[in-house]
Amino acid sequence: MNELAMGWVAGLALGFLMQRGRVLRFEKQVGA
Amino acid sequence: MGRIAGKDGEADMRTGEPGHRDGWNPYLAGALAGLLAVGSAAATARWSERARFLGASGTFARVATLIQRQAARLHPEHAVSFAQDQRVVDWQFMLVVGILLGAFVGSRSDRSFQAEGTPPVWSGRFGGSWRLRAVGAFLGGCVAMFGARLADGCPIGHGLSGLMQLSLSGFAATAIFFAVGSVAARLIYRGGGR
Repeated sequence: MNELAMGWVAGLALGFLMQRGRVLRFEKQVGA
Repeated sequence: MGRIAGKDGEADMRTGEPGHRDGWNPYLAGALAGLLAVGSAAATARWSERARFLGASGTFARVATLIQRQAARLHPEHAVSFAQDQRVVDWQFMLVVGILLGAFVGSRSDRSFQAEGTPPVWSGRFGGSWRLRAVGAFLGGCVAMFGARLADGCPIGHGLSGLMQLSLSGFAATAIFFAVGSVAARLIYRGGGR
């Protein structure tokens, strides 16, 4: 598989997981 | 700090934000991200020139170099480079683009996507001015990138990829990221988001 495509797929999965785990809302949890 | 979104409905109900209480268990998401990091390294080792480990900050340095070089066309004697590897669109660049898209897909699919000028915790401490928020974000980005280049890695590179390789620098950097991040958040927000 193309290296760039592998990076893109890994990024998609990581971004999805971070969003679902609310990692991207970390600052909200700090203040909550 | 330390309350878990998705398990602590009270905190989310106080802010009145829609959708944020329904996230996955963050420990499950973290475990899956760890498996992804290992799987990604294994896949690139198998099907590309070399193993690639998750990381993000190097891409920002290379993009900054590209922008700076465009600006330096008028004054080539001032051209500088912020990164050894000059190739901008590489595996890590695609990873960073994918993170943005993946987070967007995730927020749309669980209906938590919303446009907001200032996050609630920021508004509770500094008010609702998006201009002030933009200045704060810019300054925070400067500090974060300075630290990431100084440490040769960001929390993704050191925290995910470093720890999974049992790297001593990964353990040291991650411990300091958490310690200083917790203290800084307390000092800056002072519970203002409550």
